[in-house]
Amino acid sequence: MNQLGILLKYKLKMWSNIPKRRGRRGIPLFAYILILGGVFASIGVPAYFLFADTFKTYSTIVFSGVSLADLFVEISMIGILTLVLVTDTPAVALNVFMSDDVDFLLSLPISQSTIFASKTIETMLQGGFPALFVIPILVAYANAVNMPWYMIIFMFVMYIFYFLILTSISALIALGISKFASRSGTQRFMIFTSLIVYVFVILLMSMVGSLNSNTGNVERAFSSYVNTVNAPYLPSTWFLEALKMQWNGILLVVGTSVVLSVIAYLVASNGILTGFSKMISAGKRVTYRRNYRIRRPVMAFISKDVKLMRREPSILFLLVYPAIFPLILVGFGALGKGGSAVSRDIMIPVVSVFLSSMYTVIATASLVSIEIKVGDFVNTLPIGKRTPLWSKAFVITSAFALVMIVTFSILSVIFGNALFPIVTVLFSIPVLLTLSFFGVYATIKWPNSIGGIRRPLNTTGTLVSMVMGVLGAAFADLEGIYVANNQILSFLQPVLGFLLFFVAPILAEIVMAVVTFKLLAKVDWTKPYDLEN
Amino acid sequence: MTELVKVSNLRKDFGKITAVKSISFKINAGEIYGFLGPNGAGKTTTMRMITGVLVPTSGEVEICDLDLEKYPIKVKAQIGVVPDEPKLYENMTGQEFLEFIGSIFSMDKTEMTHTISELCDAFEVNFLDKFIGDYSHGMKQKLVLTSVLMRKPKVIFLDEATVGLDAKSAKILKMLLRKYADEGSAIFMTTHVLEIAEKMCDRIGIINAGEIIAEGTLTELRNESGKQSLEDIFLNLTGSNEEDVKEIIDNL
Ligand SMILES: Nc1ncnc2c1ncn2[C@@H]1O[C@H](COP(=O)(O)OP(=O)(O)OP(=O)(O)O)[C@@H](O)[C@H]1O
Ligand SMILES: [Mg+2]
Repeated sequence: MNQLGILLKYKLKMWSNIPKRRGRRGIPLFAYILILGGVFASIGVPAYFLFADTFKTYSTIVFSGVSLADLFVEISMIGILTLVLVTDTPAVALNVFMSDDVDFLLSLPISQSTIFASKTIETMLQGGFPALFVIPILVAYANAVNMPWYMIIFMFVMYIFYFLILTSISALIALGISKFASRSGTQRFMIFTSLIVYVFVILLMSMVGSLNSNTGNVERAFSSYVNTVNAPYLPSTWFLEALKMQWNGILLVVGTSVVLSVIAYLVASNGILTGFSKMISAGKRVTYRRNYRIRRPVMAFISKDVKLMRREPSILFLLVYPAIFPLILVGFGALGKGGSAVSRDIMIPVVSVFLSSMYTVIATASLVSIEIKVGDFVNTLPIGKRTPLWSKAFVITSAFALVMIVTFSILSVIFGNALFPIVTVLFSIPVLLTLSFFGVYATIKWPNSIGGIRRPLNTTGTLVSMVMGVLGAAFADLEGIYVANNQILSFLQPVLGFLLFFVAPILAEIVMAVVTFKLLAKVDWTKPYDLEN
Repeated sequence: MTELVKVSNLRKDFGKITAVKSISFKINAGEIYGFLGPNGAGKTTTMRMITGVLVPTSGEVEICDLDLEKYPIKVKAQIGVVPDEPKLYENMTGQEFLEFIGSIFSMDKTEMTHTISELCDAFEVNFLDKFIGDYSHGMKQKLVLTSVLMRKPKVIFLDEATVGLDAKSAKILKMLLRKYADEGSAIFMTTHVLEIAEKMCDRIGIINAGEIIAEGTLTELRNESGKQSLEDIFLNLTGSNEEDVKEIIDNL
């Protein structure tokens, strides 16, 4: 067996060993695949039917050789590109250059490029899950434009090449980061990610701008839009051209993909060691004060957790998204429906609350796993067992609330109308607090002991916490809509509106909080991996 | 004489494995107690139970006349623990870590600053402004030691504390521990370095497969076994002697 195979096999073994070490029977791999397949089908099949219908009509709306359906496929491809670059690039960087076992692997007689490839594949397998959700869109598109079966296969081959382009770019950027950022200067990662996202936001905004300035002439607006999305230098354009069997498209996709992969592989074959050494070498120092500051014990804990949160790049990423994605949505929202003010004012807070809720769980899980990594230490301190948990929940909740408040303030300055955002943030604070405690529970119940701080939850845990996050966000949003925007509920009887949009969510929230605390009382957060009792 | 540590019939099962069978011992104020035993004998497990990190399957622990199970926080406020592996918050600096500990134990600021600067001089700690993630093993060990010793706890537990320390720091640690003991602290230490046990410890307990198989001062152990060096006593008690070891080596 070749070395790459051995590395991946050993990772898979560690993965399947986790439940065994915790005294349970391991779940066979095919069961996992079945579960994931089920989840995928339950989202993918409805998505397919939704898109299939839309694409049928869209494919007839053609403008200068590009149909609306084509445009939609392109936008999805740009979406995947953004997603991979924004989420997987830092993940690769962290996973390759800062994970614990790279040190060990580098001491073995394995080539650097093999280590790099195995780490990249591993990250992409975990982080590339969203890439699968383009499949229903692609199949629906194929159906709408009546592709024969061999073209569908060809389309998926092209998609693999396309994904390889993204992977290579992502890997190359990660290598680049490793040359410039040091381990201690972790904040730079965050700045880097934000930059990428901001560039995309600005791109989208400029598109929107070009649309709005031409509102009188829809056709011209559409054409300028087509020109922007269909830009000749974007891989998504090549992909679409390849689907239409245009030679230059096929050549560009395959050629770029092969060239970039080879470059990434070659650069990696001597770059990883120097990158890794830079990342682990001692970096920046914090100013040394002769004076020590003594706080009250609880405050000391909170201040410690704030420091750990600020310095953990993966948590910072999670914090940045709820601030930035709404801005992207402003762009998309305006594109789709000409940007009605109501949908924008409601959309942004709703999306932000959804992201914050989902990420609150994961961010708390990360912070808790930092504490778990330190092991017994916290247990030897004279503090209550629950102090560390409250402190973490408090810190994470405040951080997300603060991010939302700042984002919404900026947006209300630009667009006006601040009532709904403010009310929604207020309603979401108790939800976030509950979710944060749920994150503590999730870390203990579904730990990913090989994922470390960056991926604290296993697949089950990630899915469950997303569901919880979505539920919690829905509650907060419903309450917010009822209080601040109840004119849009005029189709309901007032009593019914009050019950459905206010009483029911609050009751559901209370149930969620009670269940979370009951669950939390059952587990001992200090020893998630021990074989106890 | 005041007994600061009282452990009786301590037992720990991990699933089907029994790591510690039934352990009882006492440590007096002013005493250094050495805990010896082969790898996997149950030393670390015992220490984790006495320091309130691991809940024992059965048995009692009393520290400073307080029941550990009933008053864990009061007990923990009086003790200092140096674990076998210094796992600390990587993204904190040494100074921030000491600040954190000082706050948790509600220390007096001026006194703390003073003690820290003394300890830093002694252990040659000049890296408090760097992130702990960038420390070497010995540097982390020194930081943990500083954070424990600066508080002058009544009872100190050390798990192989000299591992990773350079010769001078190890020497200073040994002398400091002796001084703290003479000032009335009780000290519990595990070690594999028999020379340390021989020179420093007032009393020695030898544990094998989760049970204490011998206990006493060095003289008592010598008289009991009829051997002179602690090494011979240890090998004898844990079921191997000079000839066995020789045979193993020859066969390799
Ligand atoms: N969390 C755990 N789960 C299961 N078994 C454990 C756990 N911790 C310790 N053990 C087992 O308990 C036994 C005693 O381990 P312990 O760490 O106390 O040994 P030790 O005397 O400190 O050894 P060393 O000299 O190597 O430090 C070993 O057999 C070990 O496998
Ligand atoms: Mg040990």
